[in-house]
Amino acid sequence: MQSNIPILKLGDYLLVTIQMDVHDRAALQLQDDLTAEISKRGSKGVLIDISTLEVVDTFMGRVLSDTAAMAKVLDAETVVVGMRPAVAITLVELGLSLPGVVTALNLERGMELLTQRLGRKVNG
Amino acid sequence: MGNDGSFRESISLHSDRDVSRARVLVAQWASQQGFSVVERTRAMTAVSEISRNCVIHGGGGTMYVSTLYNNGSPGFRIQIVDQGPGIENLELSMGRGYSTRGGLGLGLDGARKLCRAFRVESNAGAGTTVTLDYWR
Ligand SMILES: Nc1ncnc2c1ncn2[C@@H]1O[C@H](COP(=O)(O)OP(=O)(O)OP(=O)(O)O)[C@@H](O)[C@H]1O
Ligand SMILES: [Mg+2]
Repeated sequence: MQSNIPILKLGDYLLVTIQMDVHDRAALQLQDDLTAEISKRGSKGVLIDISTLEVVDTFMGRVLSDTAAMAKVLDAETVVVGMRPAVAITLVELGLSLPGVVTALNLERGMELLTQRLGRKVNG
Repeated sequence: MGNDGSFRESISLHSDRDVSRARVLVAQWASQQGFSVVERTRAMTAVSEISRNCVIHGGGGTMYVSTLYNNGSPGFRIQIVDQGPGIENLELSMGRGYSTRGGLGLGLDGARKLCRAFRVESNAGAGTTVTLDYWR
């Protein structure tokens, strides 16, 4: 089964945009599809765009953390970009931390961050 | 629409798609009643947690949304009801980090923080009703 969430190539990186009203199974499927894609392409960087997402609850929080952890095992860095301010506020109030998840304000900053992190890795 | 101008809607909760629908329904209520984006996000997030609990732990159920006035401030009441096994250890379950299913155990505690008033009625074997109130 496909998650119907397209995984795009953005230079050397992969870009996924999570849709607004994603349901739980689709989010889990995305996690599988993304790890398969990383290993197939040998991608070193992944950007997950959540700018249309209105809710990050315990389930989605875990999907994001797990995805970043799985990518890491496959030697890829993940940056979650575009979190809405209201989502950030709610996350903190909910008491949810996203262990291992690196965030950036927007796609552009996310790409910069990836390039920085990967550059550092290459140069020792 | 009731005689007193009250209004009530319901949605059945049996799958992850229903959980997604529940979030959308609450977003509509919050927007129609002029709630802020942050307050709408809080309501959607709390409903996401409680309706998922209803599906996963409670064997499915129903969500009701109805109009509410608190000292003249308009708002809405959300009730999520199931006839499942009930919450065995309510006090523990309401706290952070307690889960019988290997979850994070943050759902109930988190939802409580994301609404104005929160109530859980649950008895072993007799189902669960969670009530969340929002007013402006
Ligand atoms: N509707 C329900 N019917 C029966 N038991 C429930 C219900 N809702 C919650 N519980 C019980 O309360 C516990 C705590 O719920 P809570 O939502 O806080 O955590 P969780 O669902 O286990 O994990 P998560 O952090 O992923 O939500 C659950 O593990 C479950 O045992
Ligand atoms: Mg839960």
